[in-house]
Amino acid sequence: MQNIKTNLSAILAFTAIIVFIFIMYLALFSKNTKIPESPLLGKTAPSFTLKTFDNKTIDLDSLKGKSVVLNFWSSWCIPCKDETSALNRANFRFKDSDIVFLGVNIWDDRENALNFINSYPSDYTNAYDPSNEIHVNFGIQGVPETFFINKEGIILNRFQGELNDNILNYFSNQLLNNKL
Amino acid sequence: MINKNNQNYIFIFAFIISNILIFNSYADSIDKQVSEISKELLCPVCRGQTVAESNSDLANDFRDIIKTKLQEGQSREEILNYFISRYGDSVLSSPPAKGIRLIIWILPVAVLLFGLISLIRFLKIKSKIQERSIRPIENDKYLNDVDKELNKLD
Repeated sequence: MQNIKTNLSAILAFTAIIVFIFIMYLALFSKNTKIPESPLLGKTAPSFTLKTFDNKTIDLDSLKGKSVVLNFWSSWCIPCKDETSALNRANFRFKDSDIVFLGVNIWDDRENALNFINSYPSDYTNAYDPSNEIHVNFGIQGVPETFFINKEGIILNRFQGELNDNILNYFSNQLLNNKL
Repeated sequence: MINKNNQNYIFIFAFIISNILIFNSYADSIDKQVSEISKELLCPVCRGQTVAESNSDLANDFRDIIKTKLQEGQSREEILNYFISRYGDSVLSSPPAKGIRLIIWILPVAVLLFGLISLIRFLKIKSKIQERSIRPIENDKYLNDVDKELNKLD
C-alpha cells in the first residue's frame, strides 16, 4: 500500500513538472502568427477628414449613404504598387453601385506619394491625412490595409495585405449585401 | 535704492524666467508621462517591443498621439482605453488577467505548486520507508521469542 502511494506521488510530481515545463515552453517559444481581429469590426468607422492630392477636402460623413473601400498605402510598399491595378478594376466593375474607393497615403512624404500616383495612376480618389492620426484611429498595423465600410458607416471587414480581384470582389459583394 | 524703471525690468525678467521654468517643468512632466504610457503599450508591428523601445513609424505615431492626448488633458486610463478600442487588449504590454488569460496566469503556478506538493509528499513517504528499514526493531513479539529461545539454549 505504501509503495503504491509512493509511486503515485512520484508520478503526479513528475507529470505536473512536465506539464509546467510544457506550458512555459509554449508561452515563451510558440510563434503566435494569428493576426488579432480588429475590435472595430461591426462598429462605426472613426470619422475622418482627409486632404486629396489635388487639394480638396473629403470627410467620411459626406460619404454617408455610400459604401466605402478605404485602402491605406505607402509609396515604398511593394504590395501597394501591385494592388493598384486590382483596385482600378474593382472601381470600374462597381462604378454603377454605391461603392466609393478611397486611397489614403500614410507614413510617406508628399513628393514620394505624388511620384507613386504618377507611376501607378488610379481612377479613384487618393488622399492623405494631415493630422497623421487616422490610421491609428483605424488600428492600422501595416500597409496595405483595407477597410470595407457599409452605407451606415459600419466597418464590415478589414483586409491586411495585397488585394487582388477575387478578394475585392468577395468583400465588395459583402458590402453590397451588407454582410459582416 | 532701485528706481521704478529698474523695478519694472526686474519684474519682467522674473516673470519671463518663472514662465520658462514652469513651461520646462510642464514639458518634462508630459514627456515623462508619454514615456511611462509608452512602456505600457506594445508596438503592434514589432515583435515583443514596447512603444517606448521601438523606433518604427507606428510607435512614433503612438507617442505623438499620447502626447497630444495628454496635452488635451486626457488621463492615462483614457489614453490606454483609446488604444485598446483600436487594437484590442493585446496592445497592452501586460494584458489584464481576465477570461482565457486568467487561466494562462494561474495554470502554470497551480501546476508548479501541485508538482512541488507531490514532490514533498513523495520525499516524505520515501524517507519514512527508509527510516523504518534502518530503525532497529525493539518490540517485535516474534524476535523477542527468538531471543528468549536463544537465551535458553545458552
